[in-house]
Amino acid sequence: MASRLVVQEVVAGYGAVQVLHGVSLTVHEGETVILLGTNGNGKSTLLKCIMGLVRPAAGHIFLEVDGRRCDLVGRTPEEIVDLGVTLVPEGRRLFPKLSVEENLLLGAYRREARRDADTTLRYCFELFPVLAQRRRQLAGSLSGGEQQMLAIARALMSRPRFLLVDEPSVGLAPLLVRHVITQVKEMQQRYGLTVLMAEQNFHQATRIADRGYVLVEGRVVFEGASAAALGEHELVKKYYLGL
Amino acid sequence: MGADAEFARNAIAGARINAKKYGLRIVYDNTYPPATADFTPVVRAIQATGADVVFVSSYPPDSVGMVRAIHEVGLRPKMLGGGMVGLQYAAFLTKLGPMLNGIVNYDFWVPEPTLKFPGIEEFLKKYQARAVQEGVDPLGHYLPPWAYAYLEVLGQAITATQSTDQRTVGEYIRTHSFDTIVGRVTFGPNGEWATSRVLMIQFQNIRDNDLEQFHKPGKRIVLYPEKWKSGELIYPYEKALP
Amino acid sequence: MVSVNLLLNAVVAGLLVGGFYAAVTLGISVTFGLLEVVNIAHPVFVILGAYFVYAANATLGLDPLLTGALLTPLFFGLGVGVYRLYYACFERKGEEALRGLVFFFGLLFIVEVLLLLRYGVDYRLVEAPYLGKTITLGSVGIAYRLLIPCLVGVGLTLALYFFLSKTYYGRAIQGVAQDSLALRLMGVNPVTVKAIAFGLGVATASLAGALLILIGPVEPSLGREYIGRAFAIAVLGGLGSIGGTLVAAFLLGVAESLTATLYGPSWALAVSFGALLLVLALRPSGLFGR
Repeated sequence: MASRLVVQEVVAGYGAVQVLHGVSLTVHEGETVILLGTNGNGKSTLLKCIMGLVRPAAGHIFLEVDGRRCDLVGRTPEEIVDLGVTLVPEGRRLFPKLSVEENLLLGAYRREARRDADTTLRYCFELFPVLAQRRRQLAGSLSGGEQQMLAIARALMSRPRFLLVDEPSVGLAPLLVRHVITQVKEMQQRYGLTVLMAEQNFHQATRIADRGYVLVEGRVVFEGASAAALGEHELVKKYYLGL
Repeated sequence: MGADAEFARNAIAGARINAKKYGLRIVYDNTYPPATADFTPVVRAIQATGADVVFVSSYPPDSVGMVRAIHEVGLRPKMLGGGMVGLQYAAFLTKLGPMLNGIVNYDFWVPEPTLKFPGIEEFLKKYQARAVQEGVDPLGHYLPPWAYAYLEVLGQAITATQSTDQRTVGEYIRTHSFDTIVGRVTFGPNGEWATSRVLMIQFQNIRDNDLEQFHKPGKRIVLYPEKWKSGELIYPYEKALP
Repeated sequence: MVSVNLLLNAVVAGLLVGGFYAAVTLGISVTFGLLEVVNIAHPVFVILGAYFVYAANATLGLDPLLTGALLTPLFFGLGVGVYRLYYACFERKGEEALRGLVFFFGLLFIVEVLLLLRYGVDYRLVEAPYLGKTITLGSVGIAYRLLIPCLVGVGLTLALYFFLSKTYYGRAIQGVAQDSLALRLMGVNPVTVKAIAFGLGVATASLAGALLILIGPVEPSLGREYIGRAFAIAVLGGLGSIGGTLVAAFLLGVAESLTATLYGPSWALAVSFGALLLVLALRPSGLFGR
């Protein structure tokens, strides 16, 4: 049955600073949706709201799984992970003093993920062979690109239905960005994931996106029904394409 | 060999003077730090020196550790003991049992016939009855008789002088003798007992870990002072072992 | 003159006592090393364990090791409770650094005073049939009184090592102090994980207490004497490294034993703390610190 992630009129911020001013969006099962927007426009905050890391001041966030609605606001991040939503956070948040393999296995902590931990681990190593080579190495000793791959692979280890990815391209060389984004698509197809990805790299992100939203100053200013439609919008042209 | 602390250091200083006086050569002279968990390395080092007399000045847990290590290693000097605190407690006597045989150590009172002063039996009966309820040392041989005797001295002095003035009472105590449950007490010019009353005893014929045996004479033989001697030293140490 | 025999015996004695040191230190390696909770009260939990073992031995005649093992669930619960209290009062508010230290110091004194009130200042010992025996291998004598604590210490280390590195709970415990937010993103509640880990750390104390009272008599304030040594071993091994704890405990045990044999025991602690400083100067994260 179909499932979807719905964000309705979410208002959120940090203390007196309001970051999101009524954001609404929907991600349907199997879709890859991108959140475009430059720094400070609320992409990360929105993902944190979905994950339960930031509590919205107003609005609703819920999953609809097989027609049953399940509110996310008020739940802890742990509970939300248990519902099948996983975030690849900004800054990667690896366990620097644990090995690559230990980081990955920690990803499979969720009960439903443990059963298949071995096969998922094998798949992660296929997807990112460099992680297999470095499986005994401490995560803190990896290069930036390898760390990003590990962060994504670790999120996959929890076998989510919904994968949230926060700016995977930050700090990576262009070739690596391409590789990482390609592999996100690969795992999306393999596991039928529903992906919501915040990204600034328009070209790379739109390669794998079905559609997207443009976030400016905490508001959705444009909803593109396809990657092509996004490229047509004047704001996108202005900010991303330099036109 | 002794603990790195004041009492033990003083006792060892005395042992050095005595060793010199009797022309004994000191082959090992060391202190151990607090919280030493295992004494076998120390005992082995002493064994390697081939010492004839081993003087140990130790605190309670270390005394137990030393005695156990001595038996585990098989140290067999000609004489062993001295200033080991703790080997007077009922709990240690019963737990160590036969391992104590042959050790010569200090004590303050033991149930030997030579130390049956008037009043001591009644005192111990009263003490032991309470001790079980209070959960303290069930024998009460070590410190309680002396503690009681202090109060007897003070009480007799106050009764005699009809005063609680410290100077008057102190003067009386310095110049008179007192009959107490630990015998006749007279103080010397330096404030200590006129003749030392610390006993040197040897553990002998301890067969098991039963508490009852320590209520009776014959297990802790008084060797010194001569006046209260109750038996002969078994020498060398090894001959006292079962 | 030093014979080979004497040296060999000194090394064996050091290894034996080292295994015991490991048992006392493991709880600190978990609570302080992995969780970064300044659990200075750990040694007093060991003493508490020793007194429970004593009580069971004196009244019911139970074997010290058996009691120590049976008590682990109780001590686990105690540890979970202590951590929950610490978390609610300090860690949640971000006041754990100094106030947490005071909390554990206070706990140390409270437990000590409770033991004093219940059992007095007298030293307590236990009985067990294997206590007085020694086995001899060639020229090396091994006392059961030290062999058993060593074996139990090594066994406890191995059990903890495999739990921490091979189970999901164990890996979560290893990760919790590194990034508790990341752990939440893996679906793990960090407070629960820390409580479990703290419980495990304290659970080792009942066994370590049984070993302590097998080796020698115990009185309520004895725990304080072990604080320095136990923290030194945890730091020397590399904070949070369980295998490192065992290696460091062996090293310290052998260093102390050799010093005691060759130069006299008064230097034993000085040498081991000197070794600690040297190692820290060369490798600030300890021998096996990550």
